Amino acid sequence: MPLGLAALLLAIGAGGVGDPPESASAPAAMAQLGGPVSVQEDGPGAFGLPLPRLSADDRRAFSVGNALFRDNWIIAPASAAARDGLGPLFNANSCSACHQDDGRGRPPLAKGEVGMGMVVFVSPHDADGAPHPVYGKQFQDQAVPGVASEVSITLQPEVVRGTYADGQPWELVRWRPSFDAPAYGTVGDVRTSVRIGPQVIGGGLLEAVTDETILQREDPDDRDGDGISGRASRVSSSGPSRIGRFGWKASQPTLEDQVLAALHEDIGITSERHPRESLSDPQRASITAASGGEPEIDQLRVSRLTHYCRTLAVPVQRDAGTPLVERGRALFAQAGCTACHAHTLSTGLTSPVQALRGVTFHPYTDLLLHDMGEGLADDRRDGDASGREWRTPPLWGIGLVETVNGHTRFLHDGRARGLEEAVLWHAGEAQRARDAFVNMSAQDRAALLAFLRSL
Amino acid sequence: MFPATLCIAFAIQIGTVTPQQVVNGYVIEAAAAYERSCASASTLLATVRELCRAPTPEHLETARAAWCRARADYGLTEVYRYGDGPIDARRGGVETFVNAWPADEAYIEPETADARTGIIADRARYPLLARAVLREHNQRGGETNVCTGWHAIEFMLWGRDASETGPGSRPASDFVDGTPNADRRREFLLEITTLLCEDLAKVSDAWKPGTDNHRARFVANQPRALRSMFIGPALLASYEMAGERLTVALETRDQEEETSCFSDTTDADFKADLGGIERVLRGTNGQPGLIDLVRTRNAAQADALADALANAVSAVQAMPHPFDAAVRASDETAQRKAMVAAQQALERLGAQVSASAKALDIELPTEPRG
Repeated sequence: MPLGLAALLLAIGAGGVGDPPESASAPAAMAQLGGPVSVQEDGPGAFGLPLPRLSADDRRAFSVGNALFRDNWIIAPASAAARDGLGPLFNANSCSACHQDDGRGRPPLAKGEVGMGMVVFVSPHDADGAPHPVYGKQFQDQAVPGVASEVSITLQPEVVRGTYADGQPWELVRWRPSFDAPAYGTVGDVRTSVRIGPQVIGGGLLEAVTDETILQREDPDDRDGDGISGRASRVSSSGPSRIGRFGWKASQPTLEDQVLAALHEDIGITSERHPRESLSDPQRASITAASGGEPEIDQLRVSRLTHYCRTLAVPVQRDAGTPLVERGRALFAQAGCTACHAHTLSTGLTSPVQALRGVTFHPYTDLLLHDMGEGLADDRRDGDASGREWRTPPLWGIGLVETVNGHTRFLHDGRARGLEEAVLWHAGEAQRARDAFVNMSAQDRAALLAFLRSL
Repeated sequence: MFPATLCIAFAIQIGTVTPQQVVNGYVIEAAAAYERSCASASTLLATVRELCRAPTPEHLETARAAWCRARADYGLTEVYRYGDGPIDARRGGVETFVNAWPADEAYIEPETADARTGIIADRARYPLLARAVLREHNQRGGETNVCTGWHAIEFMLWGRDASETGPGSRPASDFVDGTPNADRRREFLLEITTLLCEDLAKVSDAWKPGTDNHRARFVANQPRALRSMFIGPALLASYEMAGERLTVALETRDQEEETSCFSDTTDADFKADLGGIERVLRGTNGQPGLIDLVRTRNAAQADALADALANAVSAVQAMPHPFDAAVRASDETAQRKAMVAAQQALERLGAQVSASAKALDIELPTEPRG
């Protein structure tokens, strides 16, 4: 379908608030989603490559981190003493279980399936997000032999229907989680939040964005009246408040925080930061299991794992410059999506990795929390974020998840069976953008989705 | 991209060595290597059967020796990994079942003597130790507990390695009736050894002369074949041996941060793996190898590759035994220096394989692709 170049540029120019318009040379430059440190790869291993131009030492540290990320933690005590300490309660026995091939996890799709990349946070109904007194911060649905796993989690799909402006119907599903066979007493009246492990790429770039850059984009009172009121997540669990940027609710300020929390809660590995197993007091009294050392992971390994997450590169966009994808890019901006899915950010000069300093890149996130409406809300406070707020996730790699992980499950809880469903779930601050999508012609919707798949 | 360039370049025969000659020599050797591996794994299975029939210390020793020989033959096949071959996991291959690491010994049999948990002792949860069941339990879900393959068999034959100077010391009485769960240990060992033989046979069949198998497709697509032939040695030497095995161990200085930790034969793994690389690079059975092919295009690069290979061979030969004591030694010791030298020599070898591929217009990845 021919589209005048002038019209195309106009459409692009109508994009995100405060963002510079993409220039005429946009497609080629914008295709470098990770900026100058992107990688050219679109196969099943696309999420597993190191940043180009790493020093020899950084490259070796990447190898060590890769092994630690991929290999299983095993039950203590074991001959491979450095690799033992799994559990006693856990959700997965390696980082790569939930982030297979450094990619994206998915919810269980068969009864009893565990360790595919889902965790469920839990708190008493009236506790404002505080951990459950018995089941802790999240349900652990696996345990070492001799210890009972906490619950068996089942997700019941619930169908939600609607129609596009052109009359085309759609069907979405949302989850109704249920928790059977509770092993440590009744679960009671709780609020829960289902979470999926996202693709790990580009963490070092996001980590290296300065606080100032993130704060500049804040507009908590929506003074510019665009309906978007993003605000930064302020994490004050220990010491002075820091800006959270990792996790679905931006509850972790740094990659190391994220790595340590995941080791502790998801795999059951203690560290200097989290020296005690992730067990509630009642569980501590009843569970006896061998420890894999005190702590189970030493600081050297923590820093290698963190380095690995920091240096996983972002693959370039595919099909940039083709008419369909460029039309989709324009429509994405025109609909207002880039107001939160900001196409361009820059890093500061303080990253421990030289190649990540002073880099301009294209993550399609502002790293801010936004009210996403009732449909996505989990009604459960998590750190600074309310039950309706979610951090804008970066969109890089979403079009490669199918190739790498063999599924297309999106959103924080993996409810969306594809990118189209993910768009349709947007509400709250994203209501206008979502409505713009609903009002598009089928052709335009296809173009916008083609753009998303190219990322 | 490169396939087109290659086809044009190789349409003209350069020197006396043709790419197709090298591809043909490679598949003959791959088939022979897997056949040897199958044969020595069958011998291992026979010794395991004998051990289970009559669990004496002598029969246990015989089975251990057979494991070491079979493991060495398997090591010669590791160079055929990473190239989307029949061994590789992404293609529905068997690597995950055959060679997964670390073996989850406590999942198989926890240390505590009276435990009723683990695959061996928990008869209620694992009533059948049949191969199909074990296959399902192995790496179920994301990447679950490893309970099959070389290292699980190794654990059953040696037991856990609590010693700083020697391997594990499982007594033969563990398999003698009267010892709790002896019957289950025998059954489990027999099943996982049989499973190993079955899996290796599948890979071996894929490399045998045939019309509709991996070998047939491999020789029919010369550009892809050549790429696979370079990827295997490059990634095995630098990514896996130098990177994952040696760098991790040297950096963390951990006992048992080593692949064959129960038997303390990790240094033998290195020698066998490099032996496989050497055979692919130099050629075997009178057939030309990759070095000969590189020489047709760039003699200096061929020399550099041959030098890097020779250096890696002598550095790996000089690796001290046992591996775990050497990685933990202080930096100034000769044994630790020998480990560092091996690591660097393998890194350089990998880099030279990549540079050689580049001389033939083949760009190699630095990481396994999926």
